[in-house]
Amino acid sequence: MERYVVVVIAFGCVYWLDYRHMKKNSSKKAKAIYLMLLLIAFYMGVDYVVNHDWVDYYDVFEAIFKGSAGSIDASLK
Amino acid sequence: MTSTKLEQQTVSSFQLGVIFFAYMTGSSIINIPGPLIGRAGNGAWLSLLISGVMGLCIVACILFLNRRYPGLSFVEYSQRLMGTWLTIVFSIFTLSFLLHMMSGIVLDSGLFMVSSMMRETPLYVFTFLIFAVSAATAYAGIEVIARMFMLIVIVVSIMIGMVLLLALNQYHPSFLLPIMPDGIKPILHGAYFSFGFPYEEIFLIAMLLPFVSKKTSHRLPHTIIFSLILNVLIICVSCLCTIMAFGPLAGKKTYALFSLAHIVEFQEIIQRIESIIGISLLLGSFMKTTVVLYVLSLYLSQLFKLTDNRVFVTPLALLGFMVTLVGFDGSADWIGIVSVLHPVWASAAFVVPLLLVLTVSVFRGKSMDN
Repeated sequence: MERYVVVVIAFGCVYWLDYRHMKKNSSKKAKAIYLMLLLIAFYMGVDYVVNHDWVDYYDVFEAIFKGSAGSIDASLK
Repeated sequence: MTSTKLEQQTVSSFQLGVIFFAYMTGSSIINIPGPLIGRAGNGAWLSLLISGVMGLCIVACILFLNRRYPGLSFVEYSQRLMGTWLTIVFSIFTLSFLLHMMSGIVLDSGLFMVSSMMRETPLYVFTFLIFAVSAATAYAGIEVIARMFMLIVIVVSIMIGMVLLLALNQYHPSFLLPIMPDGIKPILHGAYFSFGFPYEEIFLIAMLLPFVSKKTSHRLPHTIIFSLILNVLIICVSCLCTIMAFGPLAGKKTYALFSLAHIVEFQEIIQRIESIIGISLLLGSFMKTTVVLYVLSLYLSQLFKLTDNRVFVTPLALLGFMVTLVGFDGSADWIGIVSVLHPVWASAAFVVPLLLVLTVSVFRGKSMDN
């Protein structure tokens, strides 16, 4: 329940701050990028609420850089 | 909140120097000394000098490009030199790293508060509040950021200077020797770590240089270089003071300045002043988060050729907050990300695109100038 409340408050704040500004002033391109950012945040929000440790941000970039980063660090130790 | 449009906002070169100094020194002065001494031992200051010189090379590249393409940010001249699509491809790492940086700074200060000062409070309370205040400041624009940071930089500098001075009676200069008992390797390890955080992050200034007013732009190179040298000196002094106070144990202190403030005892009146280091860390993290959030929104809007970067400030802050909620899988995992992954990721995000744009500029820059 606590996790659910945290995510709802966070999204609620963004909705409260941006709704009018987005509706009046933004281009279609800006709205599309805005929506994409919200969708990524929503995915992470659901991941946090259900607490199932889905693939997250760091899992992706760890897979890309871990090998080279690990070998550089090990060679300097 | 300000109604001034993005393209109308300007700051003086001195104000940009203050923003740069705040951004570089803000959280690193508290987060760097402990882990750096843990890697480089008594030669931590040498590591800082090496990484500081490498940082100066990055500054030189950025100033060269700024001189060649005045009034343009990194994204804008990258689009002109390499084309929009290639810039978007190279920006994947840059944008992802900026988001990681922003979340990392906030997560670090939240973890500090939870582990050292307010153990019963949930982590998200700190991260949410820092993101909320940073988003409001970034939304207000660079002029407001510049005016605010001047005051905060003075306050934080006085607080940290006070702690370093009050701990004078705890220093043992003999702890500074030997400098390199295990050879050059630990020094290089420390330099690699400190180059990743904070000196590779100098790149962000390439997005802010176009905001400097034409009246003061001739003083910009001196101001930026002076700010960087001051930052290196201050972190060096913090490392030296930590080593002199704790000796071989200095590397085991995660928040070295906090531990230093903890042992301050001056005339039995002033003691246990670690809370002011907590305040400094929060202020420093706020300043750095604000700059990164501002640059991230600016980068995204310029990449897609949009005029108003403020549209993206709140969703990016929300995204950063979500990363702090789901990305953190325990302290050991987080230390691995910051100390091992961070320097390589930063190189792919900042140094590689910068060198690529510089190379392209050197080969075909003259024709573009005309």
